[in-house]
Amino acid sequence: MAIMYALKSSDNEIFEVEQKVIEQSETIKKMIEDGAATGEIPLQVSSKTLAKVLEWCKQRQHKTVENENDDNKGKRKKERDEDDDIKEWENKFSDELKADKDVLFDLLLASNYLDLPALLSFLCQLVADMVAGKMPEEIRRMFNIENDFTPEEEKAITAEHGWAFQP
Amino acid sequence: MTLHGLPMQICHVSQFVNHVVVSSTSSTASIINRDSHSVLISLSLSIFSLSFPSSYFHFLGFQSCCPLAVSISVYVLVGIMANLENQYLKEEMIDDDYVLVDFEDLPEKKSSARNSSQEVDFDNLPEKQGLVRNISGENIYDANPSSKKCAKFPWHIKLKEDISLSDVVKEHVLPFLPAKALCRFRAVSTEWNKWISGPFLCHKQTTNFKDISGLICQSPGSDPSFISFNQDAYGIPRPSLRFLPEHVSIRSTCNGLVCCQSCSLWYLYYICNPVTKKWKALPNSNLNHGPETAIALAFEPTTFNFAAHYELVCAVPVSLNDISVVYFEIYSSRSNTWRIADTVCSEMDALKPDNSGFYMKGVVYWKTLFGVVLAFDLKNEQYGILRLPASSGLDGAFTQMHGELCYMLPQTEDGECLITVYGNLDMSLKYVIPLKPEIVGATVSDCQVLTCVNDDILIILLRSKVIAYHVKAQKVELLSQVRPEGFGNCLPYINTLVPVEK
Repeated sequence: MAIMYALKSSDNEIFEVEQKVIEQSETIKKMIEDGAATGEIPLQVSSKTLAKVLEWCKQRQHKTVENENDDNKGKRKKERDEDDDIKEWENKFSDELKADKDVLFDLLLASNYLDLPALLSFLCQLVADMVAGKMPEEIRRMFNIENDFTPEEEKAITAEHGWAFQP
Repeated sequence: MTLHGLPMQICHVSQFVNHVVVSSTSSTASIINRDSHSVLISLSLSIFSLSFPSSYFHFLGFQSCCPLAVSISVYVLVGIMANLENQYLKEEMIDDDYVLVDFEDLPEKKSSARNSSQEVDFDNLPEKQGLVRNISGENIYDANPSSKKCAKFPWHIKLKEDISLSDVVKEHVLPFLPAKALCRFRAVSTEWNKWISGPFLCHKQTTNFKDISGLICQSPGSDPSFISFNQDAYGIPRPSLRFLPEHVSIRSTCNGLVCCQSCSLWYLYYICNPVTKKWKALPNSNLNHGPETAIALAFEPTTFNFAAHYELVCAVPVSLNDISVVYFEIYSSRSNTWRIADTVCSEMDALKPDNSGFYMKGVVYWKTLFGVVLAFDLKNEQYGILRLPASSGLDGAFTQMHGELCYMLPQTEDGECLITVYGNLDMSLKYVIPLKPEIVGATVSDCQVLTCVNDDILIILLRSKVIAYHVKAQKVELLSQVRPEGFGNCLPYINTLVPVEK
């Protein structure tokens, strides 16, 4: 019988999750180890985002369980197939996120807050691919960053790295 | 070629470092929750003292039987310093008052609150005390007593709630970006400018960013040029490598570092980063090296390789009393010296290695004229010979596909081209990829595979152009037109900010 934990989203929705799934979050794992995870675990994550987080965790959990059950015979072939399956699932997952940047950014914050290293680097790669070709102005708008350079400073820094602004 | 020893150690150390940092932060939390006089004393300790719990000394004792103990402990210290520095930056980033200043005020506020706990007006608490409530927890300022059955987070986890999106992007996303984008993003804000020009981001970016970004190519006698796989994202300043003190030819690349050799009589080696224009001239080698000497740059970006140390491995043929052998001479940036390995290769068919080798996971590989691969394991300093399939010469290229070493070999027949990919340690056939003439756009008579990107995109040099062939999507992208004289050398390059120490 799997141990279940109740996670409470910031909008007070309860998610019942198996320990193995949620332990991927270093934050919650530490909490469970410390014996602090009694009752509902309140998280500053919206239910929409938390659902996405758990979708990811369940997929990862699924993969590790299957690998443990494998014997070595035909494992290579199976691994290749599984890798393809996971790639396909990840592509679908990232396509959904690319279509809705607000969810993507919320998920990025949540993966940092819950300390999910695999999800965090997956999302970072996704965001990095998205912004790699952008201009500083677009970056400021996208992430709400104030331009605190004086016009002279900005001119100097743009000139110093002029090559990086040209195709 | 067992290479498991070192990664295991590193993994162990990395877990340990994590443990140290986590335990130091959580002990801070428990100190704050305690209502004793030790609070003041403990809090007045600097954060650095928390990073050396007894387990650290236990760890050293445990490792002392190992000859690597000293270097590992240095790694540990560097790791701890790097982590602490990160943590310091993180805390500084959130809010100075929040962590660093409030600690000192805390006991005083706590006692005054306890004395007058009946009269505390929760709605009118000043902002600062609201933070204290977060830190010091339930019994004093618990604004929501009905939440008794809820689990409570340790305070350092609470802190992460307040990190803004731009801070997460700055700290976690930027290390996944190529050097060209990062140089451009220095103009985003003064904070980003400072962060991108600092050593921590350079190190993290070099460790995280692994995409082959383009090719550094050179026709004989001319300046090197760069063919970018994505012009907005990947690039180096032009004209490339002019910052070096003399005319050079490009020889080897590895994770953002470029090794060049002077064309003058001395054939000096230079190591440089073409983005930052930082470079170093290597001292003279003990053996005679020339423009044809087989070399390979070996640089492994890892968490613990903060100083970005690298090695240059050279396979130098030497004649001894009419017997030809190959010596391996290695330059190490740690000692800034050359040294000749004990092992000597006397196998005839490995004696003509190609001048530019391929480094992957601790081993260097050179093609040879005789259809075999000469491999050299840097850790054990042993060489090995891998047999390539018959009929393969020097036309193929090594690459990494799905994390494994592969050798790609083009075979043209009647205007059609097949790319055969060999892999595993026995170099057996793995895939055959036909280049369809209707996609490539012409019949192919002369074709050279340069590298493979993302396990899917083959970079191919046809007679007059460089193309990217997307295998899954079955489409072709033109990357560059090539001048008729072609390239003498064409090396895959990764766009990192790796530092080069003088």
